[in-house]
Amino acid sequence: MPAHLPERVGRRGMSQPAALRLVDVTKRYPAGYTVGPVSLEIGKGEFFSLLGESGSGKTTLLRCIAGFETLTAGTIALGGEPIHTRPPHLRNVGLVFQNYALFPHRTVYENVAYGLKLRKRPPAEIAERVGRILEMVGMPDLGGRYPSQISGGQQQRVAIARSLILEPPLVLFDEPLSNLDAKLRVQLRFELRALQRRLGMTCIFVTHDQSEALALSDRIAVLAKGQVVQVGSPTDIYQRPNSLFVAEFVGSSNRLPATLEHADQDGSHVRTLGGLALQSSARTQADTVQLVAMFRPEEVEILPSSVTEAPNRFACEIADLTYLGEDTHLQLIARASGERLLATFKSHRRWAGLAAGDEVVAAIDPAAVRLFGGP
Amino acid sequence: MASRFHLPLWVILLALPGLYLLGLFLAPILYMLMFSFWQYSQIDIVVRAFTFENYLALLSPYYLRLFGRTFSIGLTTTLVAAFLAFPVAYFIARARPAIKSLAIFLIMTPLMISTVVRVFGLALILQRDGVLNQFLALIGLPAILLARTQSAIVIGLVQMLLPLMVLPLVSAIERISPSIEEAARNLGANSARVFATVVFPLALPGLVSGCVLVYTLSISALVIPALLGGAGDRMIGQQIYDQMLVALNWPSSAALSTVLAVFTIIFAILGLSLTARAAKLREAGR
Repeated sequence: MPAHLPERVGRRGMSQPAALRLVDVTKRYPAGYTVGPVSLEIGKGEFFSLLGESGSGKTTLLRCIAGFETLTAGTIALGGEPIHTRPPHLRNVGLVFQNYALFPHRTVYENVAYGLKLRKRPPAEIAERVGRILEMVGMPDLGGRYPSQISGGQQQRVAIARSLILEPPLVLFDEPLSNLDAKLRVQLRFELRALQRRLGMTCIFVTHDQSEALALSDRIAVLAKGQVVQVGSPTDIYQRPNSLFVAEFVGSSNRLPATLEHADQDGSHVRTLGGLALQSSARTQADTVQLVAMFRPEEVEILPSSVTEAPNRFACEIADLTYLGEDTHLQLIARASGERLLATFKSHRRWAGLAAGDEVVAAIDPAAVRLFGGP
Repeated sequence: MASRFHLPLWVILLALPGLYLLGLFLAPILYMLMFSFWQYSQIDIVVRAFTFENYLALLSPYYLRLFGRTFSIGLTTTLVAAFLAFPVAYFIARARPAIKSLAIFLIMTPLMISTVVRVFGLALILQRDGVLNQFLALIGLPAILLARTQSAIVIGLVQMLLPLMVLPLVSAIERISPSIEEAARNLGANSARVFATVVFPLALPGLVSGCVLVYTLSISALVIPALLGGAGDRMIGQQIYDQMLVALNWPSSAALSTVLAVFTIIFAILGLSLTARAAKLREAGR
């Protein structure tokens, strides 16, 4: 990232006092399945994502914060006040459901006004605030419709408005976009992010979609088997994964089992199982010589076959070429070792003649190669 | 040759049950309708001469009280059953699948035992020195006289008809997504508000069909009021039975049956149209 560009907005999040603090939050199910202990701090105004596969515990964690699961151990504090002992209706934490969960027997207006009516706000104030929030989510004229009479995207906008109208200090999103079609999903993603910035709200966003998490979040917590594996900014998670699991879960990757030959001030020199000499600017912390070298397919540079072989430069044959319009994916086989590499790059006229069976040289920047402890 | 004459499949499928219904259900009802317009004769039971007399007789104070009593017992039964059934139905609808099947089986078991047997059991419990009063005496409370009262009839009817209230309620509550209830809680509703604003309105179609079933079956009950009620607690069913088989006044019995049938149909249609409207609203959310 060039120096003159500001850090992502989200970094700002942690410099402020934590809005939400989870300490050793644990949920143990009778069947033996356990989520946690998880400790997290989420800053005021931060957009925080919980990213993981189904069954990783991300939704359980969200439901613990909303109060629909009771903790086995640990504490949850919102703005310094413990809330984990309060019943769900007294937590003042917004929750947006995957299936929208609108009240089918009430109009859009009544759905959005529901929370304010419970709080016995005067009718004039309710009308004013409902009108304002419906405008904000881009559906000012649909207040009289029933949920069945509007589209899925509109239903989710209503569900978001229904939560936001109460101006809760924290809003939880449980995979809110996953029931929508791809195009709408991306559009609502932008809208949600814009709305969050505009209102300065603190959000926790649960998703299994890594691109969604990368696009939206200030910070991401990657979860697996009920544990937080890594917390960091999208660039941390993608470029500096702390484990093979995170590297593989977020984005695609090349993984080559390797042994450590020696380390010096330039970094580490490893040799892959097939015999390729690979250099990494990373210094491995692993005390074993058995390693896995990982690099992203887009970090593999394709050079003409006339370039001579050198460390991190391997003569390869194109085993398969997939043209995806914007991107091109290559399956490469290293001449020397027979190891398979994946390379992706932006399609360009200069690659127009490339075809399966061609000879190329694959070059990998040592800075892009990450080393993880043995397989 | 064989294929020259084709009967549509639905005719073949419906022929037997159709004949059965026409011959053994519709024809007797039409015959009964005719009887209700014929004159009563003490000697011949019936004289085939048209008259409204049988219906006009139903406007006497005796019959008006009979209708009033029957409808009020039916209403009480329906209200008590709805009140008892709602929590049970909610529990069943939200239970784990294994528990749900077991609970529905348990709810159904009373239907597998003869009404007469069950009502006799109930009579034994409710009588003057029955199990209930023995228990009350044991804990030092005064006896209550339930045998031969309208309360006993209501207890018996509720006991018999409760499954018919529970089952439609279960299927209605099952269709309410738990996340809708959670959304209401999340927005600040306590349990009572969640029930009043979400569960009850969305379960209304099931409640209405349960009420229609219980009410129409209560007002035509025969065995339960006969065995549990007192002399002053007669219901329409008993009157029809006595007019028919004891007094042998078939035209009067037929007229009373017709009126009861008309009322039942009216209640059913009212209920169905209510359900349809509620269902339309519901559908709004699917």
